[in-house]
Amino acid sequence: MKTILDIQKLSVSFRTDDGLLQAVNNISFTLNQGEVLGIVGESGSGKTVTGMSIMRLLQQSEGSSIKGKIVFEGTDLLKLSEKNMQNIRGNKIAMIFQDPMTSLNPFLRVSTQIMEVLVRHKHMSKRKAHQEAVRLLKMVSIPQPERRVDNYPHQFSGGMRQRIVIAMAISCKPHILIADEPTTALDVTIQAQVLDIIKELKDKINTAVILITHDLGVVAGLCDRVHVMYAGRMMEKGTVHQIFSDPKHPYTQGLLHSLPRIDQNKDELLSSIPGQAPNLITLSGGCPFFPRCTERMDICLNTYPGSRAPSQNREVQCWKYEKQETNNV
Amino acid sequence: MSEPLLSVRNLRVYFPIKKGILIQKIVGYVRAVDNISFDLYKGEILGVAGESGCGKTTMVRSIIRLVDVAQGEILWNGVNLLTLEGQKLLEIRRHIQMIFQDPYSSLDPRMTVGTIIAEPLEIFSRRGILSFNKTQIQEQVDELLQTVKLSPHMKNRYPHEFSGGQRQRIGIARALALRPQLLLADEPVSALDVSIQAQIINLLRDLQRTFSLTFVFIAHDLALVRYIADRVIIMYLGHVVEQAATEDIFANPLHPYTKALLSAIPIPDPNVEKKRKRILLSGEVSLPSREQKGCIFYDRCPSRMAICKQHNPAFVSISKGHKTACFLYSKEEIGKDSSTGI
Repeated sequence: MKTILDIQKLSVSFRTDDGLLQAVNNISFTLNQGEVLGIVGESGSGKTVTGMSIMRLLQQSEGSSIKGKIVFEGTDLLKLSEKNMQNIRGNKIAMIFQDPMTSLNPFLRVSTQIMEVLVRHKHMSKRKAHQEAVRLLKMVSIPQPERRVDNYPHQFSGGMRQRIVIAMAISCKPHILIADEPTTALDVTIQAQVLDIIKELKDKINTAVILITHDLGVVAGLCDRVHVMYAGRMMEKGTVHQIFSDPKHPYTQGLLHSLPRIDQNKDELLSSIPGQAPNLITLSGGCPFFPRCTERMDICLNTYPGSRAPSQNREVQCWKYEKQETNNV
Repeated sequence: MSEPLLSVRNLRVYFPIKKGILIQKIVGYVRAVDNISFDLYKGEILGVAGESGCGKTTMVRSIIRLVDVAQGEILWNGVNLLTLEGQKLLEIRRHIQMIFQDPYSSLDPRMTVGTIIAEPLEIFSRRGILSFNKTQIQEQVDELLQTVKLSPHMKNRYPHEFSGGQRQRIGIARALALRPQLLLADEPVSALDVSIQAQIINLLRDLQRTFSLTFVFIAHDLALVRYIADRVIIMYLGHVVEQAATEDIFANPLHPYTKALLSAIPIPDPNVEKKRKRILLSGEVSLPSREQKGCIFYDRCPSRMAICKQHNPAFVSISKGHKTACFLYSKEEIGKDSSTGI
């Protein structure tokens, strides 16, 4: 399969009043054409910051920094000028945000907001763009799209707004669609509708999807591969089957065991991960999961393990496993 | 399980919709809770599930009289809570406490943790229902902090110094301070991260056993409801559509809404997910303010029939302890129309 996005040693840090906050810490991963890649993690694990870095939506200000490479179709996005980036953002790489209540402009008609993308990137005439907007709304199953297209965002429910955001994101047939918690703000029955639409459209326009979520159930149903993040580090990578049936990292194992499931025996006690997520400012050089890990060793306290391979095609950052062969990092 | 600890009878909570700036006129009502009845037995955990806007929070809030009830009865050991006032109400409120959803907004940022937990004890001592002096209250606070697995020396700290999971523990300690019999937990873990959720759930189960508490547990996460609850009620648009023992609801859901809700929950297992068939509901939840004839779920129901448009199905027993309101199971039973004339 062809790789369309190659992220190498990405690190993002922000300067805060309390000190330097390391939001993303030396992560590398690739995205293949047409696949759905899940990035899973709890709040503060750096998954959204990763998505925002790809879109170049983070402010590069004094003290904050983005290091590493984000190679998209041969070019390093971090080296592009803002003007060139604007030709890619919303066009070849598009993003769906978590909260459909705030990601649409309340003052503008839905049609204006969708047309803006089409006029800017596809150089369509206004009339053509309006027709296209109607067609897009139809694709995401908005009833009566001809009439609804000129409504304002507040006239739609949460689930419909999220579908409008999706329509906007796919309007230019992006090569990569980054969906950041696309269903977290929605109810389960509406979540099912929205996930169904993402699944269907992904095949229709043949786009690769990065699905950022904390919901392991959503990941299981939609993703081909899954990466697990914790405290800015990429703890484990694998196919969806590997991660769910044979998790290797103690954090992934703990996360899967702490979920109640509707198809599980209810007498089993939920095993919880003790303690809480670390403070990203005072993090030492060791494994960030050290204080909560049930299998910690002395070495974990001060030295980060780096990528290790418990078996072929697996990558885990944990001292429990053997060192990986060097050729792929 | 003999006499119920709490009985809710035909509960209705309506919020007026007002129009006009100077002279406000009531133009309609949001029927947040519409004709709900259920019993709660000592020592059980009753799960309440449903999507946002179905009235689950309003229903629970009306039990401790945080919202005004339009009609109905809430019987606590046979006494109607809705008719009580002042000291008498306070005496019963001591036994019913609430745990809130958001651990950030439910603790006063200007009070220390010790003061937050001591406050109910102080108020009830001042009003003569309990008789603790200052030292005794401080002892109780220490003990409560230990019960929720926090250290007593933390009591001089402020809420912002704690993480979400720890704050929720503080909220639980405050709810336990008066040694209540019934705890109303309104989505107590939905604001927390997955790994922290499990800690709080295990703590609540522990407490329930140690203090033989009764719980009403609201959650939109059905996997969680199944894990913690003994019985479940499913709500939709202010109505209870199904009620049964937890195993029955999950093994044999009757109401089309319950079926769709269960099929919509993602299961964290790719093998199971690939094989599952989803029941996708069309459309969205309609407004609870709308005057509607017939079944409330009619618009979205995949198995709707002609009768459903005209009449409202009664909430009837299908098998032991399993009740639902749907014409698929009770062809003859026609419930009273939900409009009440107010």
